[in-house]
Amino acid sequence: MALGNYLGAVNFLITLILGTCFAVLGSRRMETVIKLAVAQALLLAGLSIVLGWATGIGEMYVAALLTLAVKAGVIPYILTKVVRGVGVSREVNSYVSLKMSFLIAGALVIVSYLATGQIVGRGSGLVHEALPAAVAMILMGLFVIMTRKLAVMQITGFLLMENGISLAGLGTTNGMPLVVELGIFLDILIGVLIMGVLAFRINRTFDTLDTENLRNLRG
Amino acid sequence: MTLVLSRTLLAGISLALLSLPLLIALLSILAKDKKTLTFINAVGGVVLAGTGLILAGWVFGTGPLAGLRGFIYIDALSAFIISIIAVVGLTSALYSIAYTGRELAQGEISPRRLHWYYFWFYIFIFTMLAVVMAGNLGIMWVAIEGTTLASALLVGFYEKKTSLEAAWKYIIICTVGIIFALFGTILLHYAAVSVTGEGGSLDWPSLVAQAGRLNPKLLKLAFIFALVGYGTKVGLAPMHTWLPDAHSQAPSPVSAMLSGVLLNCALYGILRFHLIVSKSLGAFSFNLLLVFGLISIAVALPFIMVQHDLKRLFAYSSIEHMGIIAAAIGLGSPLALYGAFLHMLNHALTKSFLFFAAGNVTQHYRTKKIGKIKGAISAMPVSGTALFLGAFAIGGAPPFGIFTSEFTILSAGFAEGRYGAAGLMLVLITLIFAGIVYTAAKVALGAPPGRIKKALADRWSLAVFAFTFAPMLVMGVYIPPFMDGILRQVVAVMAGGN
Repeated sequence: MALGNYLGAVNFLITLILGTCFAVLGSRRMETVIKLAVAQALLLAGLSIVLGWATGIGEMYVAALLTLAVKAGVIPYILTKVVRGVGVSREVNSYVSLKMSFLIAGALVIVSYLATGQIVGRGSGLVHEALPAAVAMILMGLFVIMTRKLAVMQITGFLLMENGISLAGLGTTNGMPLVVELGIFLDILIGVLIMGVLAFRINRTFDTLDTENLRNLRG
Repeated sequence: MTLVLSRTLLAGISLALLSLPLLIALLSILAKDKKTLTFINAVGGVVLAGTGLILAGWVFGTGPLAGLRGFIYIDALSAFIISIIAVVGLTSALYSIAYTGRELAQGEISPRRLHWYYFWFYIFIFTMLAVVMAGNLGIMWVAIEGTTLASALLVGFYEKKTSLEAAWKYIIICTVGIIFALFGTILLHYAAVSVTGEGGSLDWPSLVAQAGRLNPKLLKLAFIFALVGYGTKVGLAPMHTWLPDAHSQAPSPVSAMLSGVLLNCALYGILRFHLIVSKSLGAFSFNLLLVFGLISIAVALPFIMVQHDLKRLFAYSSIEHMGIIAAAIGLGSPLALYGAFLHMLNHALTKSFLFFAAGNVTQHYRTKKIGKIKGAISAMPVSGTALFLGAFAIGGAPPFGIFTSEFTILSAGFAEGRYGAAGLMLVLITLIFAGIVYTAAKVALGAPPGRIKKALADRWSLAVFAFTFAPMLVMGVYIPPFMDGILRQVVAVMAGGN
């Protein structure tokens, strides 16, 4: 299979994608976070193109185009609008310190590699590194949502999780059927739009995007 | 020839059913004034419900329908939930006219926002119909995520601090949950691709046909992710935390839709995975459903006992009832399955009835605090009585439908020899009954506070109450033969036939 010749490039891209996740965890400015989201989307699109080239599956190019348009284009644009509109640029405090975040994220990566190796078996799927890296990204996205207080940062966490899912799809089965892929992109796009609208309304009503204030409903 | 013709007609009707809510949503935005809007909603709602019931009836009569190159697949299970969407969707739409009319009069919402209310309301119905009509598990995922997106702004409709908090928690928790379900879908796809090849590997009929040959390890993992992911939307504990917030903060007709219909659609997602996985792994998915179901019932209990908010009380009761349905499916015998789907229907009717009644009462008293509502029956003879009777019905008192279905499920459990599970369920249900009736009595009986004027129900509420109450009562005494036939067909789908 021709894929073998490209494995080096593929694994390099996957490593870079994981790297952007760590960079998101480490940055405190929203502008940087959005730039990193764009970078991650570009890398994902690149991965689709390489895989499409290697396997000769035309649908991969469509997926790459969609990723570019939605995840590197429209969504960062919406996020920038929200950040500018509500005038936050710095992350309010996280529940977990920076050092601790890196430590936990590192642990998540190790756990993901061990767990997928245990359960699915080593070297399964088209690209061996894709599934564990994808699981690690999903977990890191979840970690961001759980520990960051700023509503826009939680949207970014959602994007990390979703990129992890895309990576899993790409690496195991060359992506989902095209119609499904289109539907997923539509959902993400509308999802981020609606989260953005809600973030605006939260900011208007609470005068802040700090979700620390969202804890009146109990019991 | 006639068969081909009727198939084409049937495919046409299912396309019409999917496009109708989109059309009504669009017209709601374009409508010039409130009168036109009410008209569009009432007529559209009736036509939509009629189309849904005709399609469902046809599927019950002639067997499963697959169309549009496998993108649409409707069997008895889907048709059953389509009927629930049709009926509760219609009653909620009609009740909305009365409810939002009063909100408008009280100045809670602006006339312009009303158009958006109906827009999202019908988009919400569209996404739920798409969930149960999808013949492809990937499309089904897209539709279930769509239900969250369509209803998030409805939950946060009032733009108060509490409703925005509920909407944010709702969209974040459910989206995260559902991403896990997507991961489960990808794992299933992965398992299927290695058996069937690229084409059609998420198509429901081909997945069921191949179920025995799929990699069991991957299937196990896929089911766990689907259960956790879609289970978040069903409100299974411990992923239920968004549910009481969203149900209590949404406008009451939307609460009725969330509780009576949406939770069932999400459960439908789990059932599709369950049907595939149980073919290959046997008891594995049954046991997980049973355990999560029992935990949900148990978790709901303390919150029902000490509840201070009327709508949250009914929200926790929804967690309980979804737990009962999941547990009954986990028990798995034909009788338990029969009870589970009877319960799904009864719960949808009774809970929407309760939210309509509670909506009128909380609107009139202008509070949801249980301590501040007293004498609802003497202040509001119709809605107060409905609330009181509805509470008995939802708790499981005879002669209401919920009693029949709970009795069926419990006796199925004991007949199977699952004394532990059935006994635990019996104890929990009894305690919850006491909690709900006690609270309902506090709210409904006695003399109302002096500031509360006496109010009679409007004609929309009256119509909706009567329309919903009749089947609630009938199914408690007697299950009509046509309903019995439908339930048997659904059980047949669940028991592995197509």
